[in-house]
Amino acid sequence: MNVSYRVTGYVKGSKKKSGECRLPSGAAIKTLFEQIGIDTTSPVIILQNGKRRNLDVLLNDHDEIKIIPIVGGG
Amino acid sequence: MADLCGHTGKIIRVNLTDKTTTIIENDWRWYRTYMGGRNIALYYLLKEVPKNVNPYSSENKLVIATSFLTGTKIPGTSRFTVATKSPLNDGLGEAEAGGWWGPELKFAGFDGIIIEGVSTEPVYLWIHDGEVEFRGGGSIWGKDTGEVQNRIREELGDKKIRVLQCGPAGEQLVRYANIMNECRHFCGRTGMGAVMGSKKLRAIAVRGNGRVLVKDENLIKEYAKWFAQNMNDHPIIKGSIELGTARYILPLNEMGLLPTKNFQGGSFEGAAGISSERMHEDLVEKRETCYACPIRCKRAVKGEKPNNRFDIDSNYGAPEYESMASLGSNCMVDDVEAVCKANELCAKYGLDTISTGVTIAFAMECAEKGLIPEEMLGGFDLEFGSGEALVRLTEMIARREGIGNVLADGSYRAGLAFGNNAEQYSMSTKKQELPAHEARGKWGVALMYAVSPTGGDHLNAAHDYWFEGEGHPEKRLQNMEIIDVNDLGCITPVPAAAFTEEKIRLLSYLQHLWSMYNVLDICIFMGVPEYRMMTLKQLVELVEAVTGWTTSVFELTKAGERGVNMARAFIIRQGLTDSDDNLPKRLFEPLTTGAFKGTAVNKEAFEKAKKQYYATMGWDVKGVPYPGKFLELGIPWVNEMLGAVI
Repeated sequence: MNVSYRVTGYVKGSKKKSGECRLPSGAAIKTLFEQIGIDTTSPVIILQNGKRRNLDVLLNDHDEIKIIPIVGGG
Repeated sequence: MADLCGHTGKIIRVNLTDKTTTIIENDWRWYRTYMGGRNIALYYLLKEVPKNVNPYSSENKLVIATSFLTGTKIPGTSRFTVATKSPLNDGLGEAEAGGWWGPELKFAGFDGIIIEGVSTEPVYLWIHDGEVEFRGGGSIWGKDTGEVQNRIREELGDKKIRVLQCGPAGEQLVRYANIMNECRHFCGRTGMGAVMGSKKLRAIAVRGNGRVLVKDENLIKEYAKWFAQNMNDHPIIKGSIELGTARYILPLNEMGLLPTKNFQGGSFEGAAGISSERMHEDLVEKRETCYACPIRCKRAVKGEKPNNRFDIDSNYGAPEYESMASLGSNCMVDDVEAVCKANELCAKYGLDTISTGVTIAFAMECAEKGLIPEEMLGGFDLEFGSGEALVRLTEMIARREGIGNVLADGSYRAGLAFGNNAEQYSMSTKKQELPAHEARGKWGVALMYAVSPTGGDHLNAAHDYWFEGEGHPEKRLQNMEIIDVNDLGCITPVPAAAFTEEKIRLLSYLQHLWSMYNVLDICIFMGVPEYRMMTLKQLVELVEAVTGWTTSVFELTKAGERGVNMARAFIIRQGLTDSDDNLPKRLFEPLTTGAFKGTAVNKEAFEKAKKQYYATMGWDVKGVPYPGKFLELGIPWVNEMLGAVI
């Protein structure tokens, strides 16, 4: 399946800000993170087609994933 | 004093009226009760500043205090606290800063300074290796902060002197004038520069050849080494290293929480133009840091005509996130050069960037709505989005020129001066402008804005998103922890845009914890749960290594709670009540743009949460701490200050 992603702002390990990924069916969001190099300990908000998700949620073909670092204060 | 480690055991009392100094020596029990920073400052403010005092009178005092950690080699412990009666919020003025001045005060042999009285002529203080001198300030009065720092160093013949000062804005009694060291580390908020200026005290120069005596030097060295070796593995600290705090612009914009157009919206089309990424393209000259910190999260920006539209002096640092958003998106200015120039002017004159930006945004909205009388506006073209207006108005505020004279009193008082109920558009609590965090998407922040003893402040407790529970990755790295409040006993996720009983409990714990970091004068980026590089266990070990005590998280957080309650007692003594624990009307109205478009804080839920918060804190329905609270905290004398009998 193909999944598109977009990273807003600085997330540790992220090399590309956006792109498409080919993943085996049944893969979770965590697999996407590992494939695009994002540190899975990074505190982020994950939106799957606009809905808030966590790393264990399974992906579907043509999903749009947004990854936004959680920030506050400073 | 031989038993004290970490502290020097000496506090200077400076009387500016009769030009005398005395040294106060407290015993170890006093130091262990108050520990440092805000608690030491609040102790003297509560005991010595009369009720309802005029902030500019000789009876008001300015207290500067460090902690036993300040000046040790532990990263993030460069900080110190300044506190006074605030001319902006009419209650507590308090701010902490890092940089280099706090450690140098310790090296010179002192834990703090109590400044009282008023000088008839400009002066500065020269503190060096246990000595205190009054020096004539006539030649530095009215000068830019950079020039003052250079002149003092030249006059005293030592380039390594650290200079704390208010700027020309402080001299002009701008109600949100700040106090700074090294021209780029700011005790930014609540207008303490104006109090310093009112006392005709322009600067405090310090230099010391001493060192901070600690119990276990080796443990501290080992920790500092571990910190430097591991900081690049921490996902949040790594972000600070790479892009500084201005990196928050893009994510907060995406989340719909970036204040825009005087808090009308939560998302700004021009956000990319004022991002840290944009600033790094061609303005950042170098990275800067505070004493003993390897992170180097600060930046210095440089601009030179004709390549840039403004000359920008890198000695004045660079905008942090709060400055970038308050002067940028909130004024709808998408020109990073104009924002960097306005930020440079704030440092050069000594203005708080948050209150400056939010007050200018307020004026822009009032101009758009036709609420400013023409004789006050003086033909000034005040349009949202104008970088030129932003830069020019910043300078006019600092000099109290034209419309700048009205805005120098802050947005709320300016609104009253404009008439037409314009003050309803002042985005402030307790008359202090809100920082750059849209609270309609994070209601815990809204409650903290309301109950903060200093008014609009984002640093009373962590922000809601860290504790929602959804989307959180693994919470632990090897030897490091992030976003972990399980060790506070808070294990239930709380939604961001809502009030729940669990959220109130969490906020009360977090407020005590955050207060503890200001008592110990530790940088929040080191310790608070969401950034935590220094775990609570490590903190206890480090405090023991410095002081030689056997301590606990319990003892340290109780010191934080002492600070929260002494701050509350101080503002009650100065005449503030529960009706001042409120929010600007706009936060109860729907946001107009961004991911939270249409969302508002529910007023009824807010009022209920406020009452629940008071009860959780051990305060009555009017927000006054029950006398038993001060007994429990071991400071029963505060009850006498409040006239309470038990």
